[in-house]
Amino acid sequence: MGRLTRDRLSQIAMVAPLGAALLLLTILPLVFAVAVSFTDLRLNRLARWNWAGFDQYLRLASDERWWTSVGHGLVYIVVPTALQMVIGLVLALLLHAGIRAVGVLRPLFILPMVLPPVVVGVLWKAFLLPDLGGLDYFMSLFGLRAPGFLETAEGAMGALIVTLTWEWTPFVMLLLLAGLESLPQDVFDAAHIDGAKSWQVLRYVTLPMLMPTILVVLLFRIIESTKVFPVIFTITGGGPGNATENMDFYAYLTGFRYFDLAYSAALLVAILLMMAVICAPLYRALVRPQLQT
Amino acid sequence: MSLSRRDFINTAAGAAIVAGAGASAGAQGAPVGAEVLRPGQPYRGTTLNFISLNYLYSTGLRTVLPAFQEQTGIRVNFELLGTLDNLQKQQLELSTGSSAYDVYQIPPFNRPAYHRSEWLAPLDPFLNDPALTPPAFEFNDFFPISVAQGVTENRRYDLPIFSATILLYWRRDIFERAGLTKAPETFEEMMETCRVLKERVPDIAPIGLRGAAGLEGNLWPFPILLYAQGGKFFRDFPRDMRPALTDPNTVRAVEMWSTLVRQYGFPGAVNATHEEVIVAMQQGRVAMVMDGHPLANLFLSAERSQAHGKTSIAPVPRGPAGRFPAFAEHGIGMAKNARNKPAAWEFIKWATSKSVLLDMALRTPYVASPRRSTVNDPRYQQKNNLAEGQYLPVVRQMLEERSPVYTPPIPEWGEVGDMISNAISRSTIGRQSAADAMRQAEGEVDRILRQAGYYR
Repeated sequence: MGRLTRDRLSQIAMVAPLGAALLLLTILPLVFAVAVSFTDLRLNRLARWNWAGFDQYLRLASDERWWTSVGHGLVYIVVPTALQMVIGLVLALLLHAGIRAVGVLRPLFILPMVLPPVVVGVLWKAFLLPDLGGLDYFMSLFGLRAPGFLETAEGAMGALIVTLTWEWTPFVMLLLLAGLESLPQDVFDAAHIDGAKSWQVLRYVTLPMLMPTILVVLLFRIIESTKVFPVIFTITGGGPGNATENMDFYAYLTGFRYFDLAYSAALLVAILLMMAVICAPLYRALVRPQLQT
Repeated sequence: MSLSRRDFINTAAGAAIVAGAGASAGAQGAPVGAEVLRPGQPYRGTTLNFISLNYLYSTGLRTVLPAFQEQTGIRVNFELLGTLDNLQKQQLELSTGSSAYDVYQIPPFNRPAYHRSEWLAPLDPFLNDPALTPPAFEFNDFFPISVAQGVTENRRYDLPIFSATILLYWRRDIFERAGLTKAPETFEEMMETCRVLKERVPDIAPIGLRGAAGLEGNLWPFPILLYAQGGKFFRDFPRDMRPALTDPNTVRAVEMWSTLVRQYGFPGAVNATHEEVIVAMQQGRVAMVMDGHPLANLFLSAERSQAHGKTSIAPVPRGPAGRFPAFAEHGIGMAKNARNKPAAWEFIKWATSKSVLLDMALRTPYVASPRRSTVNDPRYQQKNNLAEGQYLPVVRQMLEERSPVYTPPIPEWGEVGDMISNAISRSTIGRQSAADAMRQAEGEVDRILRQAGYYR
């Protein structure tokens, strides 16, 4: 019993620093944010605040700009993630197949992923600027004029999708390539001996065996797709108008440009719940069973 | 890319500085600003941090700064930022009671929020103490309208540094190509002029306007058009503060603005700040610009601008309700929690003194001095004898005719103005009709004002 207690105590002692860090850095700020969302706290009058009940959440429910930003946020989750998954898979398959030209370019593929997001944003903004940008220059060599990506709502959204796809496809490619390289070779040998064509091997052997990796990568990308603030900030600033604002960009504006900390906290809580709703079932239904097998 | 544009503009400014270099001392040969500084270097060894918009006042001040550092032994670090970055950083620092920055450039449209929140230290104790502020400071030399901006509830929180209005710059040569001979005098004429220019000179955009959303973006020039059309932000400021954004005249003004920017603006105008407008003018890509008078030395730079020698200057157009020229006054003040307030005052006093403002105006592209002594100086008048002598008289006319309340001096204007400027931007890019955009903005503004207690 004494030894059990000692073991137990040493386990607790070893976990305690991590628990304390978690409490201090994650749980307490979260609890504070939730508490603030039930007040009317403003950045320009921090000393005077009142409890406001569910006022901020009622306001959120009827805030047109919030729901527009949710729509944009969903676009940033679905479209770039789908493109990253498809292009990343194709590149990983080409690399795995030993296509020489693709292999030579391998270091270049990784470059976007290692750049800080702000640098990615500045690079693409410089490229897309009307009249002065790189794209305009290259197109002018052929007597053409670049479309004004940043001048329309659709163009600006398209520019962000292209940037996010460019930035994160290498991440997908690398993980899927690692997954491909860990698959047992004998299964492929058996398929070839049985006369399977390449596309049949891909359809019936490679993809099913790679599925756990694909699902984990998909989960990562969905979670990360909400964290596109730096790219939006540097390329479009949420504009033109507020055509490219997503949820966290709007929460940032609310808190730090409009000083409305309480409403900003309510928006953050809503974002958190939304992500939990999207990711928890995905994790439960797709990833955990695969990991258990 | 905004960084490289800023660099481009600063390079132009730098060229002008070099061109005007030579007047390193004050009028009497003493080091510039010496007449207002305390003798004996009482603050020697102090370091101050100054945060400001990166613009002609702050870059000009940095040019003459060595004189201050040598005379006082005070070191001043400048942090110069773009419009939004500056605003956000300032607000974050001030609202949290930080003492990281001692001296602040006060953005004009956010001044009421700074004052009402009591984020700044009152300057009256320094200004009224003869031991700290000698008569040579000549407070009465400031234009009354400029110094009036720095006071809230009988307390002075900042001193003026940059008095700005808006002018219409138009290219005679491009107008001639289109068979036009004069600048539009009304906004209806401006629309027609743009139509003719676009038809007859298709390779050049008829007009350059700040299309980007923001208080210092589209909301800086837009009220000229709004008021001229009989539109308004509030039903009856300051008696009835309920928003009037769905007023037919207001909606009509937004429609006209959207047409000017989207249909007749240069490529990228919907996202343009003053930086893009300057570059468009300098590169000869626009036939007209309606923008700030302090930018004249950049718009018309002999070294950098294709518009030099080909541009005339006219008053901003009027509308059915009259002419409503713009006015904005930037200030300089110190943080409530500044660590060394006497040293900060020494810097503020010097940076707003007669000789420093004149020296900057003679040596750099800075032109928007709030002091009579600067604008009455023959050297200043000679240096700024731009556009065949049209510039200074039109500036004077615009400042005299300025709108009584160009933007409402309420602490909520930062948020309210942002909602309105976003709505204008949504209409400009065609995302919403002007009526729908302003209806949405009206709801948002109504909530802010109601919450702030202007009405129930």
